[in-house]
Amino acid sequence: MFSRAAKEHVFAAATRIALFISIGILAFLLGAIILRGLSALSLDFLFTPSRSFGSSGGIAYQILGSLLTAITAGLIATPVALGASVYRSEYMTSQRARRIFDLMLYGLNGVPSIIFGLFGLILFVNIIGTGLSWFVGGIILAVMMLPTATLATVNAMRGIEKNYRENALALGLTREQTALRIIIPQSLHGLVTGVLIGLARAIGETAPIMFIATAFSGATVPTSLHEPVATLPTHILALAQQAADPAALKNAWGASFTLIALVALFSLAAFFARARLSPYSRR
Amino acid sequence: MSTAQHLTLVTDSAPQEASITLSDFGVWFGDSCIISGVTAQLPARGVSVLVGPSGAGKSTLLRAINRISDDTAGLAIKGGLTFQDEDIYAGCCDVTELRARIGMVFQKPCVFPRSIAQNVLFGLRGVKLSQAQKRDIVESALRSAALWDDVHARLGERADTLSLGQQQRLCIARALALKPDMLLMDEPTASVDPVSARTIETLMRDLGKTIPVLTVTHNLGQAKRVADYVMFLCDGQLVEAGTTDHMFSKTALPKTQTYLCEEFCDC
Repeated sequence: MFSRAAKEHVFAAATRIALFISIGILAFLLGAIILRGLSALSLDFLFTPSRSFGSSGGIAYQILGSLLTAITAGLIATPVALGASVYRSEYMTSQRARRIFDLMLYGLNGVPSIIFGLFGLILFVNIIGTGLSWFVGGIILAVMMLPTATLATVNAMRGIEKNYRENALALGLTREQTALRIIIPQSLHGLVTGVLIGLARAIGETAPIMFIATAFSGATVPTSLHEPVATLPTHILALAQQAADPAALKNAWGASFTLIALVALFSLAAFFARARLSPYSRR
Repeated sequence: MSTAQHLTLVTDSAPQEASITLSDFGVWFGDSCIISGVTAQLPARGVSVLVGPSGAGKSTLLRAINRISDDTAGLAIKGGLTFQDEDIYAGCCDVTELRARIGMVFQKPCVFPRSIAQNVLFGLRGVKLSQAQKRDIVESALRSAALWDDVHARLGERADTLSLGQQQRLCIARALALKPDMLLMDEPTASVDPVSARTIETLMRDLGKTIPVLTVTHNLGQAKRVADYVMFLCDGQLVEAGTTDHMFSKTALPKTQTYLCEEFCDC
């Protein structure tokens, strides 16, 4: 029989191995992308348009397209997530209704991204007839990031003590005023974190916008809502299909590194926003 | 005890001028009756104290007076409750205005994550005030809450940097800034140290000179020190109500004497 101390050691070792595996995989992936991507990176690469289907030139329009669709998604998703969270937290009194709402959000969060793409294709391109549009891509990405943003905000609102609401009501504030002056300011960190994490996910998505918002080549700066854009994920996909060409492969690594850097930027912003906007942080 | 008996007992020592009048008042949450058949009058000035064992319905009664529990699922009110002759539960009653008129301080101090001055002015947001008016209100409310001397040099600092006792006095100042017609206090000294508790007791006595103050306490010593009028609730029913001298004397009902003298209740 193992002694209690031996069991403790085995358990600690097993958890340590699990930790090393997860960190190891991440470090390998990031290491490979950074090592290979850095060699492709230059100011020219970042700020010039691609040529010859991406095997030469840079990724300026792809960065612009990715940021445009992701930020549009963020701008659309933020008020909707906030409104839904406030309603769920302040006006939905039935616990059963709250559970159903939460379940629907978790369900929406688990929908494969390609389904959102197909939904966008059928609704916007086929039925409404928008054609390829970066704005429609933004809308679909907003729908995708909505559960993340809403759940993060709902959780932040759930964390607000009942005392705050009661004290505000006792001072003669209406529920609307309580929501605007107490609940929203105190849960802002959750909303911002959720939106930024959602953005980090959205900017790396290929499938949902592939059929409705992006062009693999030829897209420049859009001048109307009804134009496609080039994005980093679709550009990487196109370059990966030319993997036999070393120049295209090099650019694929460079674009991957840029995409990872953008995702990291949003994630870092989410981390700092959480720390900065939390009602318990000392300012 | 029947409602008729309550009426007799209460009327014997009922105050001449009333702020709150309860007539066969009851509170239900779904099928659970929390309070029933409470008939009493609270004086228009002075400190009234609600005493009774845990679960007697003291806080429920207090919360019913400024309708803070209105959104609780299954809440049903029976009987009458008037404040300065106005039916609080009438359809035409403006609940938010009522809550501003009947201030409430809770057991646990709860300051908003803002500055001390902003906390005092919190209930006045939406009211257009000049900077001078704001300064006057802040000073007046903080002085009334015996907090001005402690914080006048740091009004811009975050309120959660104050001690718990100071935070509770800030909550009182916040309620007083609205110039309420009555103040409800739900065990206001339960979360604070004895020194702060004594300061708040003194504050209650001072406030009671100008507005009616109704407080809940489990501390019978405190009830004796601060109360002009005492209501003894047990198991959702009013056992007896009267002046402090009466309630803490041999003339009180045996049940009241047992609870107030021996801190024991067999309800």
